Amino acid sequence: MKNIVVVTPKKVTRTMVQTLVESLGGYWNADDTLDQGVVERGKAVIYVSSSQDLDPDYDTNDIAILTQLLGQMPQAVIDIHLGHAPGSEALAEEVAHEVIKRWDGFLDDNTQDLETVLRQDKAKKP
Amino acid sequence: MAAKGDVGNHLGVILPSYPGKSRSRCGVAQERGRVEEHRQVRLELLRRVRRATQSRDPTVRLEGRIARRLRRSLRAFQQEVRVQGRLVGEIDVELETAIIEVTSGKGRKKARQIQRLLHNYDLNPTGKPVVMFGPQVRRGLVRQLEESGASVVQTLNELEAWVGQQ
Repeated sequence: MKNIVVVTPKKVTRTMVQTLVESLGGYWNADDTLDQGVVERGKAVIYVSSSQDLDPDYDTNDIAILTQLLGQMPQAVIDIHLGHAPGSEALAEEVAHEVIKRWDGFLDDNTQDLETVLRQDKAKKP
Repeated sequence: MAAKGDVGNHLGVILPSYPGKSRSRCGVAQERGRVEEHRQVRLELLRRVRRATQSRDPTVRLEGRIARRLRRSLRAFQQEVRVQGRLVGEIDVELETAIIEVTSGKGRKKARQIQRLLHNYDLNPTGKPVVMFGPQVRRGLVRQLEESGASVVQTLNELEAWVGQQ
């Protein structure tokens, strides 16, 4: 299953993510073994959860790069898992942008090399 | 050559056996119906696998390649799991003896997903072992995943060997 993550410079709690999921017409599976939101639109599905831990998904070098990209230390990671049904990718992107709109952040599609992203980001700035 | 009654097994479907008494004509018809139903379900499953191998999305293509390689013991593919109408999750590839979570990316935030597959009853009612197939997953992350009870493999050969041990 594919997933994308948004790294935010603000503290984003589970309750805040749950509110976002519900505002998008989704629901929250509160069971301890799940603890994630689900947003369905037609056949498209995404699964959303949050965490304050960057380690071990990001090493110290990654965190330094993210700090430069965000302008401050990253505080939370919103994980968006894509369902297999058609349209799930577009739905995931839409929700990721909603997350960034609310809490700011950097969208990591889980395939990028962060050093390359940083170089490109610096090249764009005057 | 497969015997007449082996059609289901030939397709990798587990069929009920009838030990002891001889079967009535009605029983034979019922069995044939069941075999045909299993056959159709199986063919549709394999069709979906074939479509996935042709996908433009690398993760979907990888899921398809894995399912095709292990098709003899394949039980479910890209399966949504619902409880009372609510989605609880999805299974990438399920075999007779294991669940495989696939990622073509770096595997960030996959540890939680593996935990769900290992411990949620609806996703894994018989407690099958879970293996993550992640060719690009970083070593530090592999260690964390293994500490949490999952196995991690990075090549199809490693995966086949792991499945053979289950």
